[in-house]
Amino acid sequence: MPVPVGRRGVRPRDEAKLRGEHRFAAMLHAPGELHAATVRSPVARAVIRRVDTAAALTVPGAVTALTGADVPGRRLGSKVVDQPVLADREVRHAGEPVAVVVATSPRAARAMAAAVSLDLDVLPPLIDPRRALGPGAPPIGPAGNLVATARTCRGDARGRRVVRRTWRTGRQDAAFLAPEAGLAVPDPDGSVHLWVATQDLHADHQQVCRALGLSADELVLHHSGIGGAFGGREDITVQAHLVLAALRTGRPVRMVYGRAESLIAHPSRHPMLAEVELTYDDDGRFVSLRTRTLLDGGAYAHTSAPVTGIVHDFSAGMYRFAAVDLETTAVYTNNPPAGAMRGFGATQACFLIESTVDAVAAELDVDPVELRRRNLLEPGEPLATTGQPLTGCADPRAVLDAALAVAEPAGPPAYAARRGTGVALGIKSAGLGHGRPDPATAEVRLTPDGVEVVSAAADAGQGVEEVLRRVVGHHLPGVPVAVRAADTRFPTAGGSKASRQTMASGGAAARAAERLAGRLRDRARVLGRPVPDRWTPADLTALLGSDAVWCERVTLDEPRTGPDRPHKAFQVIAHRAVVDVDELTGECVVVQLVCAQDCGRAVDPVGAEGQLVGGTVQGAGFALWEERAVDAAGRQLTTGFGDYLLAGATDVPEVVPVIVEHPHPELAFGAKGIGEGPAVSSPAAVAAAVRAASGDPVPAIPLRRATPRVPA
Amino acid sequence: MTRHVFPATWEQAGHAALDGDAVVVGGATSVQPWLTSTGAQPSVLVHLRDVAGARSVDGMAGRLRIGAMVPVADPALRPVFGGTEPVWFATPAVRRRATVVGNAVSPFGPREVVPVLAACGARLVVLAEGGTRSIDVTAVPPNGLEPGAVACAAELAVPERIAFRRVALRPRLSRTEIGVAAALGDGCGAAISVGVGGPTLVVEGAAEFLRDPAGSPGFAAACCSAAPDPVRQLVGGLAVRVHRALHEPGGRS
Amino acid sequence: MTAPDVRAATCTVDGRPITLPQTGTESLWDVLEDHGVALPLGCASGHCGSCTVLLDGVPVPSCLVPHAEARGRSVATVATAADDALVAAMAEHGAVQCGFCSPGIVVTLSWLLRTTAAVGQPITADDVRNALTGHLCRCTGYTAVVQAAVSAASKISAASKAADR
Repeated sequence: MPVPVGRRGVRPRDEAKLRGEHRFAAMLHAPGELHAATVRSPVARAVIRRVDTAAALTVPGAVTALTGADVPGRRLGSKVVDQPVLADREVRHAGEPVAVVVATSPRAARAMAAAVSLDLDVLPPLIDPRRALGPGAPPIGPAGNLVATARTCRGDARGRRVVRRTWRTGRQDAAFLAPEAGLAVPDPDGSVHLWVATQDLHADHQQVCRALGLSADELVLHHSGIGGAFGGREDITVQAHLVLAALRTGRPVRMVYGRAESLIAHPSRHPMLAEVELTYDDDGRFVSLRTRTLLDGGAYAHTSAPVTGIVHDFSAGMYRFAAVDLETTAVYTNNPPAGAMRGFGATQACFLIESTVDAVAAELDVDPVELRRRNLLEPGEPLATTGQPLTGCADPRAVLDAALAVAEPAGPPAYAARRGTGVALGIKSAGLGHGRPDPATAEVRLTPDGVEVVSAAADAGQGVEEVLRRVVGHHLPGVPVAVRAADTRFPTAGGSKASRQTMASGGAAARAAERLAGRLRDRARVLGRPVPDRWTPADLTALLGSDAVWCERVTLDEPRTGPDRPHKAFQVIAHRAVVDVDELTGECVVVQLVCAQDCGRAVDPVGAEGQLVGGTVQGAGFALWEERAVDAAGRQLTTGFGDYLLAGATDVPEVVPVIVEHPHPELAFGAKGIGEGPAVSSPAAVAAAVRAASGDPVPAIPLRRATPRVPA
Repeated sequence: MTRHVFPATWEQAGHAALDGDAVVVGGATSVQPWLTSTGAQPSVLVHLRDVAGARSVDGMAGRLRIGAMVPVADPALRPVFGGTEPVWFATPAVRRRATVVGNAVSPFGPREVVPVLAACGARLVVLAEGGTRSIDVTAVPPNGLEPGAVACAAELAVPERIAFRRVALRPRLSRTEIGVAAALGDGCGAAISVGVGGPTLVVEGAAEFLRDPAGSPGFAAACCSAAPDPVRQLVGGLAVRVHRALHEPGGRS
Repeated sequence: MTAPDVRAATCTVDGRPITLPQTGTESLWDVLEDHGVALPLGCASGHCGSCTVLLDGVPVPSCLVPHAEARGRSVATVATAADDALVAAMAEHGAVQCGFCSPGIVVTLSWLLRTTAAVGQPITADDVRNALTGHLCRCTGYTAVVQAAVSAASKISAASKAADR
C-alpha cells in the first residue's frame, strides 16, 4: 500500500536501486547490437572542408560512419531549431559532434573515431559574450548573435544612495552521475525503438522525428533507468545519433558516453555577467534597481530563451522597488552551449540580487537579515519585475525565520580561520509559465487486484513515481498502487523539469484517482453497499462487477498562465550558510548549510528533504568549486572528476533541511514543485558567508579560494 | 595485445621491464585510468604484486626501507605521515592500493607523497639496465623514470616528528597546490612543492631552524627563498604553521 | 631468464568462477561487464566510486583494477557484499535518489559496518563521511546516507550485544 501523503516512508523502488538491480541506460543490451561513438570537433570555430572516414572504415569491426553529409540541413532544438544533428559545413563549438561511427565492439568504435580525420579551416572564434552583439563579431547564430532579450522599465524614482556592482557566475555542469547512454532497436515494422535516459521522452521524440524526417509512429521512445538529470538531460545528445545509426544499419545500436564526453556533450548552466545598480534611501529602503545582464548561450540556442526569461523575472528577488530598469540578454558565442540546469536562471538571478542586497547592508553597516526584512514584499504584493502578486506561497519572512531558527554550529572555527554566516532568499517559478502549454496526462486503471498509474513522467531520482503512488493511494485507500512507465505512444507527461511533475503529473493522477473514487462511491450507492474507509478486493470485485477494468485518463494544465499571470506557483527558499575561511590561504570550509523552503505540502517528506539537501549541496559546489573551464580558444579544459570538483561527503558536513508548508490553493494537496529551489539560493548564501568571514567581495563564482587577508 | 607478467624477483622484473614499451604496475590506481582514457596498449604490463619482498617495510637504525608494493595506507608508514593515515592523499580506496614508491615515480598524476618523503630525506632504489642506483626522491623527471627502469623501494629516515601543511581547494579530494613538509631527525629536513604536479624542492639549511623552538622566522625565510615570487608569502605562512606543529604537536595549527 | 607470463587467469565473482583475459588493457569493470555483471560506471578514473566491489574482501573501484590484478582473487559485488540492515536503513532515510552511486556506497559502507562491528567499535557520522570519501553522490547531498549508516550500525551493534547475552 502507498504511504499516506505527508507521512515518512520507504519508496518501494529504492531497495532495488541499493542492491544494484535498477537498469540504467548503459546497462541495456540487445542481441546483435552494434556500438557507436562520436567524433567531436577539436576547435571552437571552423569551416569543414572534409570529414574523411576512409581510414576509420578499415578498422577491424567497422560497420559504418555517419557525417553531416548524411543528414544535411537536419536540425535539432527544443526552442530554436538551430543545432545540426551532425555538423555540416561548419563547427561552432569545441566538442560539437561531427561524425558518428558504428562498429561491432565499443573498442572498435573508439578506434574508428580516432581514425576519422577532419580537414578544418580554423576561424577565429567568438569567445567573449560582450563582443557578440558588437560590430565585427562573426555571426554564430542563424540570424545574428542575439538569442533572446527581455526588457522591463517601470517608474523613474531614485534613492539618495547607490551601490553599483558587477557579478559573474561560472559554467556549472549538471554532472549527473550516469553518463549519457541509450539503445536504439529497429523493429521489423520499420519503426525504431529507443531506450534512453531523458527528462522528457516526448520532447525528444518530437525533436528527433523532425530532425530525421520521421513520422511520429516511426519512432517510439522508452524510459530506461535515469542516473540523475538536473536539467542536463533536457536537450538531445545520443538520441538522434542512435536512431540514425539504427536506421542506417538495420541493427540495434547502443552508445555510452564516458565522463569526459559527458562533460562536453550536454549544455551547462549559463555563465552570467551582470552590471547592477541599486538605489536606496538612508533608512535602507530600496528605491530602484537597474540591471544589464548578459548570458553566454554558447553556440546553439537550446533553452537560452526561457532561461533569459527566468533570470529576468527573478532579478529583483522578492523585494519592493518603486522603479526598475532591467535588461537581460542571451547571446550566441563559440563557447560550449549553455542550457537548462536546476534553477534555470533563477540561481544566477539570486546571486545577482542577493549579493547586491548584501553590498547595501555593508554600505549601511546594518544586519543583512534586518535589511531584507525591511524590503521584502508582503504576501500579495506584486513582484517588481513581472507585477505578478506574490501569492500561493508562504510569507518570505516566515521561510527566512524557519532557516534562522536552526541552531548555528557549535565549536570554534579551525585554527587561523574566521567564521562567517551568510543568508540568501530565493524565488523561482514552478511550471513552465508565460502561457506556454504545460500539460501532463496520467491514466489510472482500477481492477479488483489494485490500481495502476500510467505516466510517461521521467523519474530521474527526484521521486515523481512515489508522488504518483501516494496521491492515487490517498483517493483509493486500501488499494495497492503500481506505477507503470509509459512510452511515447501514451500522451505526454511533459518534462521532468521546471519543478513541475508533482503539480502536473501528480495533479493529473490525483484527479483521475478522485474520479475513480467517485465512481466507486456512486456504484456502491446504486448497489446499496456501504462505502468503506478502505476498499478491499471483495469490495472492488463487487463494485466493478463484470467490468474488467475502470480507467480514468486526465490531462491537466492548471492553473493556466498568461500575460496577467506569468507563473503557476512560486518556490520560496531561504538559505543560511556558515563557512570558515583560512586567513592565510583563503581556503574555504563549509561548516553548515540550512535550507528552508515552502513546499506547499510535502507529499513525500523524506523525498522532499532529499531534494532540499541535494540541491543545497549542488549550489554550494557552484559557489565554491564546480566549473567547466574553457580556454581562450573556446576549448574546454575540464575532462573528469579530477578537475570538475563535486562536493564529497566531508566537504558538506552538516546540511539541514527545513520544510515549510503553505498549501497552494489551486494545486492538488497544496503541493508545489520544489526541485529547483534548493539550488537557487544556496550559492548566494555561501558567497555571503565567505564575504562575512574574509572581507573578500566575491564578485564571481565559483570562488575556489578567497583572497587571503594580507597580514598587517 | 598487451601481455601481463608477474615477476617473482627483482631480477625478473627488471628483465621484463626492458621489453618494448613495458609499463610497471604497482597499485595500478593511476596506470589503469591512463590505459582506459588514452586507449594506450603497451607491449607488456609488469605487475610487481608478487615480487618477493616488495610488500615489506623494513626498519633499522632509524631508517625505513619501503618496498615498491607498500600502499600509502600501510599502518607501518604512519610514522612517516605524522602518526596517521594521510587523508589528504586521494581516497581511502586509492590509499589502500596506490603505492608510495609508485606515486613518487608516476608519470600519470601528481606525486602527492613526495614533499613528505623529501622531508625524510628519501631516496629511491632504482633497478635499470646498468644495475641498481639510488636517486633523490625529488630527482625523478616529470615524465617518470627512463624506459626499462623499475623503482624497487624507497629508503628514508624515520622522523622523530613530522609536519605537512598544504594549500588545496578542499581538505580532501583536491590536489596539493602548495605544500610545506618538515621533519625532525637525523637525515631529515624540509621540502616545498609548488603547483599541482609541480616540482618538490628541498629547502637547504632548514634543519637547524627546525630543531630550534624559536627558529620559526628562520625556517620561514629559508622556505621563502626556495619559493617562486607569487607564492612566497603563502609558503612563508605555511612554514610558520609547520614549525609550530613540530614544536607544539598537540596544538592547533 | 624470462618471467612467467601466464598464470591461472581466473577469479571468482560473487562466488562464481569466471575466466579473465590473458592479454589486453581492460579494467576489471570491463571484464565484469563482458560477463554480464553490469555495475554503474560514473567516471572510469576512481573518483566517483560507483563501480566499487570487494577485491579479496576490500573495497576498490573496479575501474582502477587491471583485470590481471584480479587473477586468483575473489570479487564481490553489491549482490553479495550488501549488509541487509544498511540497505533497509538507507531506504528508510531516503539515502537513494537516482541510485547510480548506491551500489558502490552500499559495498563500502557494508564493509565499514562489518569491519568496525568485528572489533566492537561504534561508528560516528565522521567515520561514515571519511569512508564515503571517494564516493560521489550528486543527488542526496550525503546527509541521509550518513544518517542511515549510523542508524544501521547502532542496530547491528545492539543485535550483536543481544546475541552475546
